[in-house]
Amino acid sequence: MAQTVNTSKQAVISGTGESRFSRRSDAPLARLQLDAINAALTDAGLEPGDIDGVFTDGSVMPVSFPIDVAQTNAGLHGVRRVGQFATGGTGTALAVMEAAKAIRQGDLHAALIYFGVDWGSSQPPYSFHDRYRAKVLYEQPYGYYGQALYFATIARRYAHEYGYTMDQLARGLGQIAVDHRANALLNSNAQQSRSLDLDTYLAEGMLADPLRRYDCCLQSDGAVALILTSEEFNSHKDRPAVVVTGAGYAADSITDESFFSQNPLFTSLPSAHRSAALALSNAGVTVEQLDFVQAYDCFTPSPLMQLEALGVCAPGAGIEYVTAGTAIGSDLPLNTHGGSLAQCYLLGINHISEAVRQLRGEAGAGQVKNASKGAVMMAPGRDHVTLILERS
Amino acid sequence: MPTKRLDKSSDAMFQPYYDAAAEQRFVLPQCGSCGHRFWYPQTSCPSCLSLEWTWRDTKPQGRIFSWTEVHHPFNEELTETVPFLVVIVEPDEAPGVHLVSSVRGIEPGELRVGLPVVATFAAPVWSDHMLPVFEIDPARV
Repeated sequence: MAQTVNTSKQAVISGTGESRFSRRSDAPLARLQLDAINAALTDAGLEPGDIDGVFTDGSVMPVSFPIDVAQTNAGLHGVRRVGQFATGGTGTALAVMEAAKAIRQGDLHAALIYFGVDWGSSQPPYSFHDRYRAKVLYEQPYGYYGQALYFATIARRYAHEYGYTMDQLARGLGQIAVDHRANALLNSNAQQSRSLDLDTYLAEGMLADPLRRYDCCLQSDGAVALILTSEEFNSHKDRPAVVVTGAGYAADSITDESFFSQNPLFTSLPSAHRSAALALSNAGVTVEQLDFVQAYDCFTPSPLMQLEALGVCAPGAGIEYVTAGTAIGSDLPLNTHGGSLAQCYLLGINHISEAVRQLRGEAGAGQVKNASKGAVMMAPGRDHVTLILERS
Repeated sequence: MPTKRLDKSSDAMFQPYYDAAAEQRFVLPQCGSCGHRFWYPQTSCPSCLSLEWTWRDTKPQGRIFSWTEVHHPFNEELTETVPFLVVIVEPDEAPGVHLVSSVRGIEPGELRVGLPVVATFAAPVWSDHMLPVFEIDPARV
């Protein structure tokens, strides 16, 4: 049941900032990240010295823009707690979850979460998995290299298990790409600016059969920052507060190294099923009450599996579900900013800033009418985070 | 010819698989306590957590679990190699194991999930090492 949110004991996402998103930026990552942090501070109405906690991903940022560099360059002289989450695609969602907990407990007043990459101008993230010995020794010799191949084999197996023809599969995955693109065209900070229809999608050659070009996320330069505060430190009493009302983390007993080829269920994400159930339960929200879902979309099969995990449709019914359309204007819009497929690939942190924009009613042409509750889901892998955000 | 990819098969945990393949034997880790065959090698048995497991000869046959035909070179070293087929094989004696490999002697249009395959040993598309690669097993089609 919907309940009145008691904001005095809740964590509010009271500031968001985004750099300009692009394929190749003239500015270095450090500048993009500082732009995002400064924009988030301005949006929250806070001074750098107000920030007392800093949290980020621990897989990428410790090399590219570590906390000491962020703290020094942004003037965050009041920091008394930091944390990094080296869990890959769930890192920044887990950072929000842990920062929210610290704020609810009264340990922190204002926590900064940041993430950015320059993988658009430097190198695509394929070699990221070279850290895994089993992949280098047992997968790469066969050319099983590049994350698209993981999702290509997942998609084919999915079609086999649930009795979809390859044409039905293509039309379902294609509709995901088409709807993400349509959403991105309503967002002023999206990399993709040309429309995409299903015929154009289908006419593209295969990259890794059955995945085509537009099944794959963008490569991007960009950065986002979020600021969580208690309601007391939320200086904007004049606009809706976006409260983290539910958060769930779950992890399977399988390593990151093994997951994509050895996941026993292969076509579904057990940890996502559990994290979604946890987050909905502790928010006291049902799937039917959600107004949008932002789900990690590295490749089109990824949001498909997460929608099933969330319970919007039964396992295996996902292709039918997405074929009916998930763009803005549908019953439950998916990735209202265009996601990683069409807005920007930042491992999902832009999904969180978009959720905030929607719940404040600040999404402009891409606004979901009367959006008051939304889910953010990250990421397809051994572990998963679902956040439920609500407007108070 | 693609250049040699990486030659890091010196890890104690992973090397025995390469050594066996050089002798044209297909081996998988098998738990000495519960008998579970698993993949990839890890310190403890994923089924019972026993630390006592060994590499055991495994019947080199299975069925196609999934596959993809790769058209885009995700690494520049594969530019001359595309298009090529990658298969995931579930060995008959190790249900639940997903062996990434390649398949020979079949057109992509003929490939189906569930087809029976049998291993031979050759250097796959991105390695100079002898490793298991698969062919359709006519005896079991």
